[in-house]
Amino acid sequence: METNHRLGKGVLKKTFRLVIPIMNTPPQSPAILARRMFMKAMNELPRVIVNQENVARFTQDAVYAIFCDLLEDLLEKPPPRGPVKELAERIVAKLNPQMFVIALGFLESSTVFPAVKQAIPAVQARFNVIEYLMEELFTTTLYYSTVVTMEAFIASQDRKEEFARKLLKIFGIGIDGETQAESTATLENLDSVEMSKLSSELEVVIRKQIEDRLAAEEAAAKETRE
Amino acid sequence: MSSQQSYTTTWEMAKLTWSKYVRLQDPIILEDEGVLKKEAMLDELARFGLANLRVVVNLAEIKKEGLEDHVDTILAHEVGHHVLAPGNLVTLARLVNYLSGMFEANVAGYVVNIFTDLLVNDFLFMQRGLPVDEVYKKLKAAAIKRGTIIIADQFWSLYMRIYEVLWRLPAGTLTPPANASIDRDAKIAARVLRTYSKRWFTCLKNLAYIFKTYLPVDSTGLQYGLPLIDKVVAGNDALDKIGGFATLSDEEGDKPNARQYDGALSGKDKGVASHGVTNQPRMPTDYLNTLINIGAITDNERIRALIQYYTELAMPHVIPFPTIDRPTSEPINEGSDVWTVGEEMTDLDLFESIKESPVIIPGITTRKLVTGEDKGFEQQKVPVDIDIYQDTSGSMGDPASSLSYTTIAAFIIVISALRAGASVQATSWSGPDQAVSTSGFSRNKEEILKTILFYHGDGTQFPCQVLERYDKRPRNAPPVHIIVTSDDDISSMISDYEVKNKAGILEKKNGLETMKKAVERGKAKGSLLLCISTMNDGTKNTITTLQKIGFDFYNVFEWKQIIAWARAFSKKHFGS
Repeated sequence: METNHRLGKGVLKKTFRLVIPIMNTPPQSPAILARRMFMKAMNELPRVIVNQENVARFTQDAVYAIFCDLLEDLLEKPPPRGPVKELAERIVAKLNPQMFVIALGFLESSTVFPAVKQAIPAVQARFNVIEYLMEELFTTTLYYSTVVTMEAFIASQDRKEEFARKLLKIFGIGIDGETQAESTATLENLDSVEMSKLSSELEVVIRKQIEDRLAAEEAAAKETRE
Repeated sequence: MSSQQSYTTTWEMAKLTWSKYVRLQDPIILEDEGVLKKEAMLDELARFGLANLRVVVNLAEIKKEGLEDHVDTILAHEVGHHVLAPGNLVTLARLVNYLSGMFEANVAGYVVNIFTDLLVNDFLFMQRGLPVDEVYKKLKAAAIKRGTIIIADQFWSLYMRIYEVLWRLPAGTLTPPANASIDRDAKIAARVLRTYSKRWFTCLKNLAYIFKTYLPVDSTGLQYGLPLIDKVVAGNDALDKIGGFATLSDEEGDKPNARQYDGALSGKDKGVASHGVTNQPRMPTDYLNTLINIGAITDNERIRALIQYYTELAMPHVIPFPTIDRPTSEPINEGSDVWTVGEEMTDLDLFESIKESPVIIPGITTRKLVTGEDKGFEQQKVPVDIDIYQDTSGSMGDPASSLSYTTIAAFIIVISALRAGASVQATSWSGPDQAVSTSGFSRNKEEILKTILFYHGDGTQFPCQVLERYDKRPRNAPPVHIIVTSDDDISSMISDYEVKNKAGILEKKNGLETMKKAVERGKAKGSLLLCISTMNDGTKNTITTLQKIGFDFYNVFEWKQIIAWARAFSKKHFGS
């Protein structure tokens, strides 16, 4: 069994430089979910979770309790309290806890939960399931919330779909009607972290072009003066 | 059945794609090569005129590209330019002008066309499920057949790849597989479109930075790998439908600039605040050049457009049309008369009736009050005629190239005067013998406004000879108000000047004497509007002299202040 307890290490410090983290290879699960179903779940999240005015409600204790509930529902036994508490502390310190609660709310929704539950054995076969879920859910939410604001998440169907697909990928849940390659390509096009990286690349190109043009103009003007 | 008739149902369905409330004239279906050549749309599939709201379809080109089965999609696309983007001529003009710092005229128009096509096509594909991708697949197939796909430029590949990303089509569906940088830029462009689909100017700015790499600086190097679905044009009578373009909208605050990158792409998903420029005047050069670029006017119509520009800026300050008020009157009691059955019950005066007889017999003892009206007496207000002398020397600036507040002020006064029924004489003056004037006092608005816009750009010599026209002014004509604007020494208003007499010989006259005669004959008062920081003795002396014969004097620190004066003046003299 692979161990993957990397929380709080260097990978988190790199987040704000938008370096794509080395994620665990997701497990292959027999669970499949239709796009329509997971988008329904995203669009019908309880208002108490998505309302931005409620952000103060998502304290360390609240995050801890909600996460414990999810793990218990999935594993049908109480999770180890120490690591989960430690994670809840990090969540509140490092990222928007509301986004993390949205992730948990999505996984707990009636349309998504059965598929997630079905996927657990495949996860258990490869990883320490508690450590794996804590790390992947934390890292995915951290990177996502770094580049996508709550406003953008609420307003855009694409951003909701991106988050949903990322969360489902953690469990290796396939998308009904899509090959794995198609799902990967779709997520790649939707991926805000990837997009930030591409935008930074393009900005370098744009700035270089402008500098070159101005330098050429300056050189031409100098020649004319001489 | 003609082509026109056979597409009637298709057209109705195309309109229904958007809304049952869409009202547009039937499209013009063209197939004859001669007509298409005349309309300059041999290579276009369709065209939409924003001013006349008319769709023109090139059926020959549609057949050539194998798109007969997709006429419904093409027509729905045209309707989209009316319903969604750009929607109207002013928005098109604003979008094209917004890119003026990034691209040359034709290229900016081309980019805006691409941008609006992206918005419309994305809506039709994603929200209405129309097979817009099939249109582009057919275009691609036809291009492969012709062999032109090989020369399809990089920009076309980018454009098609954007659709592939937006619509989640496998790479290579609409264009040959693109290289890594095109793939990257298409993904970013697709993201920008979705993120800012409701904030067009921000969206267009981001797209412009992405497209810039692929497009030439000017239109000479602009090549299209494949034809666009259509072209959005201004259409006939466009100048009459461009109202609102003289001022900036708030979104136009952060114009993209080809010489400087403002980091717009990093603002994705976060929102970038724009500077408040709402209702600030646009520069006249931007106004005129954009109208020419979008085909709303030709080069020969610049003056007409300039009149519209300054009229639009003046209109918020112009007096409203005078209303005819009924004379104030009080009802006067003129006794009573018999009230008979059949008359209004409300007219029956019971008190008067009982006074006549305690027994009420309808039609005999019943009375009604009879009242008359005091029409009152109000003296009719006669508006003063305006004689305006606009300094158009070099220091005042050409109103066609820089914003001229004196021109706006003149427009406010002239339009207000004409509304109130007054006549106006306008003179644009500069150096000696440089004065263009209307043919006397006139109510011809176009002639007056054209004269005000005439620019000399030379020295400063007041045209006293124009004042000599007062000799022929009828005695019973309304009084005149003479308005003179200048930013320079105005002593020439009262100094000697030379003018040719009837025999063609130069004759010396005195400006002050001519002015006095004009004031006396025109029953005139006057206003001197100056913007002079340091006055010389000549100007000071002129002001004092003119004040003695009935002139007011106003010196402003900047010409912008003159607008408030013109507004107050118009209200005082022409307001009801």
